[in-house]
Amino acid sequence: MDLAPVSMSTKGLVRLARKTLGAARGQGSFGLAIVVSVLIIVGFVIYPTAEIIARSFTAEGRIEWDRLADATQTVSTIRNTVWLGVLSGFVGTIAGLVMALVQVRTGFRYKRLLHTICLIPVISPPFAVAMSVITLFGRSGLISKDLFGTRYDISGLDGLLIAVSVSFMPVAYLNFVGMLKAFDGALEEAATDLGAGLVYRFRTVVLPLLAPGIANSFLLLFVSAIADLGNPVLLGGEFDVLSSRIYLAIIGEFNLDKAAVFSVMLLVPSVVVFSAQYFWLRKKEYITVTGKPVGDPLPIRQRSVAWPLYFLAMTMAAFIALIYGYIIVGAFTEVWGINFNPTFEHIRFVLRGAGREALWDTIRLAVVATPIASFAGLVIAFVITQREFRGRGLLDFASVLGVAIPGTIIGIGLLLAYNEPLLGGLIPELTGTAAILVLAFTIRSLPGVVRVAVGALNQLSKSLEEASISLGATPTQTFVKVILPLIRPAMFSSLVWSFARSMTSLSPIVFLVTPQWRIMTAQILNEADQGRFGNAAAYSVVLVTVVLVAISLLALTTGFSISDGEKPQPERTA
Amino acid sequence: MTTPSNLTMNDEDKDLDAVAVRVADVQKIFDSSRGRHVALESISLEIFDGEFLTILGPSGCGKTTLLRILAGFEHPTKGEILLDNKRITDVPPNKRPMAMVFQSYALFPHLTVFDNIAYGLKIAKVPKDEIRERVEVVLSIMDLVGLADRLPTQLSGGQQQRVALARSVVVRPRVLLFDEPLSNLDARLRDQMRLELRRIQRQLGVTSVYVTHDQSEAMAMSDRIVVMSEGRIEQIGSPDSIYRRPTSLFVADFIGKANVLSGPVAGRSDGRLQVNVLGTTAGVEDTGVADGVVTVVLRPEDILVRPCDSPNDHKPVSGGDQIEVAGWLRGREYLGAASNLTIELLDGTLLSSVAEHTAQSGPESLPEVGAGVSVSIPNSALRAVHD
Repeated sequence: MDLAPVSMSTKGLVRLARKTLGAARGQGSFGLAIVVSVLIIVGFVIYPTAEIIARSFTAEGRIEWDRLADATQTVSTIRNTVWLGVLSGFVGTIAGLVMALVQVRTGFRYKRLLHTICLIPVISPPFAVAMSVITLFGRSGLISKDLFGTRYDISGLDGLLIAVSVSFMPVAYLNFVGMLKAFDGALEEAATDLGAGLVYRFRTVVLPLLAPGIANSFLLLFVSAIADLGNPVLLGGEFDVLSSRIYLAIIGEFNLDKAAVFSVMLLVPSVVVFSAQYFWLRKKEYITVTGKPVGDPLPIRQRSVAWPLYFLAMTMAAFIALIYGYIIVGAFTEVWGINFNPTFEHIRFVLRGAGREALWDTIRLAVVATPIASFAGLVIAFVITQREFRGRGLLDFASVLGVAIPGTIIGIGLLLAYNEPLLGGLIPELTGTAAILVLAFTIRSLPGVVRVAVGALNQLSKSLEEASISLGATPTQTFVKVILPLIRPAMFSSLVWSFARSMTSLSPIVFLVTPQWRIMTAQILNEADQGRFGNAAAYSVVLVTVVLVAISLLALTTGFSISDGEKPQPERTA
Repeated sequence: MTTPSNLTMNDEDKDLDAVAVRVADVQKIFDSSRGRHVALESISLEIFDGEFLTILGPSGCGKTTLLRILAGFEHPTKGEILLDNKRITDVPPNKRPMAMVFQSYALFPHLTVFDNIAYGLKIAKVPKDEIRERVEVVLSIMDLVGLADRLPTQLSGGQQQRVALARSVVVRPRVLLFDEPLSNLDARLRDQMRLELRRIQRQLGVTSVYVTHDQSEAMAMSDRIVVMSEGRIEQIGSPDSIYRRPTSLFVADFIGKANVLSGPVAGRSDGRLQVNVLGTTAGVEDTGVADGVVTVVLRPEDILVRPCDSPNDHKPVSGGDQIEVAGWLRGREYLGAASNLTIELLDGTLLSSVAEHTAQSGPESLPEVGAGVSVSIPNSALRAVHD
């Protein structure tokens, strides 16, 4: 390559970046994409996290370390956190597997309904479940007190386990649905031909092939559960976990050093478990979802197996429906769980009263964050999938690392990292601005978008891109004219995903909200904390409605239905 | 249609001024975490204007790498690519006047047949009217009239293949590159498409480089064949010279069937080599192989088999321009147009032969399995090759 005198133009910078990054001999636009990807990940994921770690090791941080290391409460907090992660990982995985088996492998009549119910938690604020659990099973709960006459206190591990498992079960469910659909039916037919019955087949063929996926789900649920903030704050009671300790350190004690120390304690298991999943388990997956049609799986017909599955699935679905249905009840009655007189007061509070501002602030910021996250995710996915270059594996890992970094830590990290102007004023102070909230939303939805886009791009045959280039198109033209149209369904899923994610996430923004910019999830937590459950329920109902309306609008304007994103893409190689 | 390019061309006939592409000392090494892999050792090759050149070899021989280097999708580790005497080694693929036809066709699934074919023209900002005109011309050449508004998924395999070709030729490339374009078609369609492909290539007179691992495809279509193995060029020549005059055991074995014999050189004189094979001495053409034990190859169809009552009494003879040895028929395989015969000679050597059938000479005219046979082999059919 000729090294023309490096001008100070952007072109020169790009070339420089390309060289330093070791990007494969390519066009300028690709080098630019790499630079953008690295900047996003380093600037908004790595750097804020590093700030927290650094903070925990300052002189003040060390004092907190020493103090906390001696406290027995710290030990029990860590034990509680791990215990919650393990138990809800276990319960959520089993529940997701049962639901997915019924969905994919049986001819159950109410499959569509089950599917819909399983997806509700995805588009609702996670701690909405906690409120419902309290009002249903708490000290004066509808079921515990009014039905069974006990004054049982659900706060603690038992209540948390229910709330967290219900909240994150869809992750496992969708994971298993994908795997079971991709499972080649011919394998099982072969086993049947060799004389294996249903149970034997499941034990010797299906289960071993699913095993990595099961472990995978477990680990992802573990990471999600220990990162959850809303449920422990509302339902934890005496049962401390790290995320609620971080919350209390900041909101109650204004002690950032202590919060930083707890954050590091939370960060370590999250990143370790996630890395184990990423580096070790992912390579063991036998079933890859390629989008290519595979042999139809054998349906489970034996009643002795199918009916217990139906029963389990229906029970769980009924439970989820009860929990969410009861939130609606709470939103439209005078005092949730005590006075069931219908009222629109709570809804009016949200739509017309004090909640109005939060509603519009949240929608505005989520609308801004959604396309940013989708575009950034697409660029990163493109860089990861399209070409080999040095450091590609690292970039891939870093781009999904956001999953492992708990939202609370992202939030505190942003707070610490951008509370003063950076790079000589090139980046202004962001704390307290809307920009930092948009950033938090974007970072939270980024890993999901990257994963969806990587999946779609990997299905594109490399020769399509080469055909376009061979016909004279530049890489940029190829991207716009060939790649983008072909991954439109995936991009639609990404938009839906990031919008829902932005609207419903609490942990990353809870420390970033200001009186100028209110976010609904933070308001819900606030109302619930103050015992105004009716308002909190009304917020939740309005929030879910907004998400559903937005999805429908997106579907109308882009011409895709929600289910499109899940379908295998049309055959690329034609 | 008879044009000069219809005739088989030998290297010697070629006008050296008409070199379209020159591959000069191209080497390609893939470095990865799994180690160093030499895909191309040091390849030099000239591709003549208007010819149909096939790169033939088993998978992993480097033929696709070479094609992708020509297209610009890979960059050579060393060496240069010249197009019309201009260095294009560093020219990106989209700036090279070459178009590639892919094994998977790589039709854009979201575009109609028309838009697929018009793709390259739109990129080149050709005026709309001209695009329409040119696309319609290729549609008719390719027998695709009436399919312009279909999507690729609504086409048969053969039609998809023709659209892929149409899309590449419509941009009038200086060189057409083919990456095993017929391997996804079933056998019958493949035979039909290879005729058609060649017809279109002749009609347009476009220089073409075609990569395949299928020797019959290479034989049927090419002006010249480049046989590759393990990153090296084994032999370059017309299909006939590759088949009849292989220079290495690899080429003889890879293209067509070959009986492989070996024996010590007994002497060299007037361009002929005396080699002791099959218990006698045969005079074969001196192809420059080293003294010592040489490998000699022999095509099955060059072996003439006759019944013989008592093969044990026949000593191998070397008379005039052929040798005669005796043995037994050990196997007979009826294929319709011919039968494959397996013969065990007195010294235990196994030979494959082939006997063609006509209405007059059916399989019943052949000796029974186990019967004695005598075999005559013309010296000119024996070819000494490098190992």
